[in-house]
Amino acid sequence: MGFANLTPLAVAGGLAALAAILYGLQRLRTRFREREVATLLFWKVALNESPARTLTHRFRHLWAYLLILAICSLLWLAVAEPEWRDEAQGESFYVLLLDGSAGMARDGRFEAVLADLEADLDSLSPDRRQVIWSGARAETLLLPGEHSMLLQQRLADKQPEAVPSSIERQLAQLTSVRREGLATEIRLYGDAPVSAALLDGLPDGVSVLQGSSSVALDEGNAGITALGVEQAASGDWEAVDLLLRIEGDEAYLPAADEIELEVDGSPLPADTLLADTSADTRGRTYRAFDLPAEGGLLSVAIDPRDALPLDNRAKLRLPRQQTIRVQLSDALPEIMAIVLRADSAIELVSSNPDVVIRNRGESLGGEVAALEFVDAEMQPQAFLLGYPEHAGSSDAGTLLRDALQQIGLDNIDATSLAEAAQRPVEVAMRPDDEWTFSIWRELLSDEYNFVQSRSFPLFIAQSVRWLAGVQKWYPYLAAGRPLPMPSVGSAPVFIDAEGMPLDTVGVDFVPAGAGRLYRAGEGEPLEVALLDRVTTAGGGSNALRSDSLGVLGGDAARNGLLWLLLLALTGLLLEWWLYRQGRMP
Amino acid sequence: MSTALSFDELFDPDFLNSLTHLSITARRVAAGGRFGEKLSRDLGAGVEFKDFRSYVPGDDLRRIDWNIYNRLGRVFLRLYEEQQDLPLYVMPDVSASMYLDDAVRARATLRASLAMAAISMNQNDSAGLVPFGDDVEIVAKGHSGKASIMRFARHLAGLQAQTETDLATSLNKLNSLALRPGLLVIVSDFFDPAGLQGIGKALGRIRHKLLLIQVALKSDAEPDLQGEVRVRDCETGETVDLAITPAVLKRYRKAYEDFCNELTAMAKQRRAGLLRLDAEDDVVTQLATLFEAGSLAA
Repeated sequence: MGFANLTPLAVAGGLAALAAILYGLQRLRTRFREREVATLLFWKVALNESPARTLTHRFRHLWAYLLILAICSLLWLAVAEPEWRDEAQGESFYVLLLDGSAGMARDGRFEAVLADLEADLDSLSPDRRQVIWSGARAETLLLPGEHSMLLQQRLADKQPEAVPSSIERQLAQLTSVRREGLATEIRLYGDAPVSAALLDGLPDGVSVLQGSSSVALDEGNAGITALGVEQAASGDWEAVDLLLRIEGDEAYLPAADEIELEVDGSPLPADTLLADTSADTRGRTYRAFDLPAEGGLLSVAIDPRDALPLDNRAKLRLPRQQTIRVQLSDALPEIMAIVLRADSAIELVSSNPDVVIRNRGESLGGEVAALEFVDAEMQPQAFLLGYPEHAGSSDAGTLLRDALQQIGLDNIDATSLAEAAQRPVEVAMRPDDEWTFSIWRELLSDEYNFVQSRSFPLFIAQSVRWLAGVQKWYPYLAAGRPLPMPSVGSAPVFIDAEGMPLDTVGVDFVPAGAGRLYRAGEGEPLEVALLDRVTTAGGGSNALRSDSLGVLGGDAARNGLLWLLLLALTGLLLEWWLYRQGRMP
Repeated sequence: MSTALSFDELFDPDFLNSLTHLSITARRVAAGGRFGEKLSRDLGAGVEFKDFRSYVPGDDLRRIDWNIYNRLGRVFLRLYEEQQDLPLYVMPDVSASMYLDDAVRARATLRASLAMAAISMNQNDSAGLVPFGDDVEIVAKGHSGKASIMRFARHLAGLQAQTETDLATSLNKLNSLALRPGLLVIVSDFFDPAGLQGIGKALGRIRHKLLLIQVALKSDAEPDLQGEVRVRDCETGETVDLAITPAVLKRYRKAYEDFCNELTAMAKQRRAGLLRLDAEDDVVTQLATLFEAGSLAA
């Protein structure tokens, strides 16, 4: 037996305290008020049939004491809420993991699972159970010792979120927690699959059970499982190509012209999407070409009449790609102009440039970002990066690390350069008036064979992009999945729907629910899409868990609260009756 | 607890004036006979003829029946029935219980005593004051006439509270004083620790006519106690611990009712009158009501 609100020690202590208090009251009640009367004749007659309590005869009314003690004890036990449970439960701690992923949004599924959880909750000792929400983020809904009524309140605004299941990730964390002297039993409430490998690797004393009953999926579904962009194959710097993948039951797969496609709320022409004609039994792939890379918000929607609505919509923030205006000094070798003209992202101009390429000392282009060539005698560092002091809050180290990564200097063969130069090759960063990148002019000579190398155009292109502030962009963002590439530039800052920054320390996946806005640095808002094949296919059909998980049997918990209160009420009525009869002092 | 009441506390002018009204009321009722009226066994100078007897030297010559002397030649005296006054003995209870709770009961007792004495003295009967507690003493005797009322009142005001009630012993002692037979008025709560049986036996030996006046408080029948109470007898100092419950109160009321019934039965057995006065109400008004109702005609 356990208690819902108090520990057994507290209950026992309370009972002892009650007995002591009532004992004291019994004694106190014998401290009479004194009254002087004219005669005792009649009181003596009355007293012969009902002697009063006295200190020396304090237990003359032992039964009265026991009755009131019983009543108080019953009320005290009712406050403690005793619960009877199986002996097997006695040595375990229970973690009830509620799946809040998109798969639970199927009609009525979330409510049914929640009912299973609440039924099981009543049969568990509050001190040895906790409830965790596993949605876009893990969230503790009920701590050990908290009253189960709090769960209703905390679930009031909870609905399945457009995220893939994070159950396995939660299990990996939960199973690593050891509780001294207690086995851990994790009960899953939801349809998320659990891999057999994870179950096989459970540490001793940890078990995973299915808490909710499974249901057969009787409705078909199709959903968006991939949505991404890449640089346009046409070579147009200011355009991207789109890939859309929809999987599911054949009956629900839409034709290309049935897919709603919008950019910033404006529908795109029906023939924008082209469906692949290759044989594919699991779904269809659609493509769109040369969409303008202007930072618009791309929305895709398919027929919402299937079983799961959350995978019928997806959004993607298109990259913003603008031509970089570059002014080139005539004093530089012709090879520079050839390389720049070959870059579709660059337009050579003679005025108002975004970036100027010149020798140090030239006034060409004015005060803009500059790629400068300088005599090695004038600059000890082979590569010297300059940043304006108003360049955000990042420190010089972070800026240098990002610059090396973006320009590609971290991959340069510094050893051969140093051998050719007969001096150390250094990279440094210093504050300057504008973004600058100063390079030894000697590198352009034949002596270094740099210009003739295949990396030279890439080096120039990356340098110009870095100077122009061009950020790399993510081709897609799938909720709960790893970032498609390491973060570039300043680390992305994820912000939740309320604008509060998310702690992304140590997180290598997109920690976001689909459909919410997230911002990366100072750029355009990003959109995260569900894009989860398991969710779209229906997690409940996953065979991995069928043999691995047992179904928790229903526990007929006997809640003694009602009986205790009834007994206490009976005791009170008995005392009242005895008092009215004059048998109760 | 006060042990004595001053004259002013006891007898205010209104009360003293009300005694006049009470006397008148009593006189009107006495047309059929005063409550203290009794024929004397003596034959003398009355107005009602009773008998003849032979003359002896020293007899009053005015009573010689000269007609008989003329017819028979012998001297006879006419004897008339002589009516004597009936002495009133007022026995107020001055035990400690009478002085409890601001001496409400004592005030009523002493006022009733004066009222009874005033009625008697207004009719030229004599009144005596014999207060009792654990003992009895004659404080005043033979007061008669209206002029004595104030003197009687001052005697009452000078009484001091005694400790316990011992009415049986007091009555036995009074009986031994061989007072002239009269009307003995006992004004008391009759809360004698010895109980009513002892009092009844003592009353059986009394040669006087008896009038018992029970002075009661409302709280005697309905005590205002509740909870856990240690009650102390104000006369004996004895204590009893009580847990007041409705059942205990019910038994108390039953005991008090039995006491009153027993007192009534005792009075009836001793052919004594019994009045009950509420100490918290006006005594004169109550007595006047009782007179008019004929309760004092016994």
